[in-house]
Amino acid sequence: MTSALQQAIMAVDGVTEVFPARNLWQRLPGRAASLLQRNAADAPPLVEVREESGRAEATVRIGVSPDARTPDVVRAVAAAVRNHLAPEKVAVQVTVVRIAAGDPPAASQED
Amino acid sequence: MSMPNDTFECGHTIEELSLYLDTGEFPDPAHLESCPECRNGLDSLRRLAAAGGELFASDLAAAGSGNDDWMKDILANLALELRPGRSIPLRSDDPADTLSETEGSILALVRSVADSLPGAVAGKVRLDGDVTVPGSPVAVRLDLAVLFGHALMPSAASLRQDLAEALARHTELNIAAIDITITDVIEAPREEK
Repeated sequence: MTSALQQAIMAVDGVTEVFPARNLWQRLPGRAASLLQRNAADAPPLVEVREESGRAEATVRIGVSPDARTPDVVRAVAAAVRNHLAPEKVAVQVTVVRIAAGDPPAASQED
Repeated sequence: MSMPNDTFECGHTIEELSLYLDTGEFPDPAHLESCPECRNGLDSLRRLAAAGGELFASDLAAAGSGNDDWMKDILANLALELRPGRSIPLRSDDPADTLSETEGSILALVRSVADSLPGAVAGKVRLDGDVTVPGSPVAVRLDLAVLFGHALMPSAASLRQDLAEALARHTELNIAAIDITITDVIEAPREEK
């Protein structure tokens, strides 16, 4: 479900990336997490949806394009998540963690 | 080049990111795809390296020699600013929702705008005020290192305008002031005698 939900989030204009819903330190202590995440099966969920006292809570962390209007993008993402999970009642938590082009982190120096 | 060894919340460091840009080596390459703080750090280091290629090559090469305080300051501040920091709220259409942006993402935004100014590199960047309370007045404080010979006043005015536009586009903060301080004026590298 979260993969389809991730696609719905990425379809929002201005979203460049979806990052794991939780910081590394929230997932596992210290750098041990890096060692454990060597294959895709161990990869953390990008979008977290969990039931909390009869109500779903969705947690999303995104990157936004510098050309977009971040507050509008965030509200659109919350609406997209809600629409995707309807008719279930859901509280959506969206956090912007990066405002930049979504280029991959190439290592090489250009010159 | 010696660099501050502050460890980010993800466990990695500025030095590791710099080494990655130089050599492509990183303890956990997949991490770079999923960590926004490291991605922001790579962006800043790339811009710093580009500025170095244009202006500061000698200083970059000599960083750690004792005559590079401005560069050390930039790197030390960068390490601090890459942390997520405070949570800056955004208005939501549904009262059940919690929408926000990290302070680190906004500091990185300010830094990217400042670094686009020709002949300048952002030093310390900070948001003074309670950014966690909607409507609370916030002052942006930005330190700049600039190359000797550049016209500072027009550049500062233009930068202030660019920052105001970027912050209005990407935040709902009540920006009460944008203070820009030139903390270092750097002479262009000279030929050795």
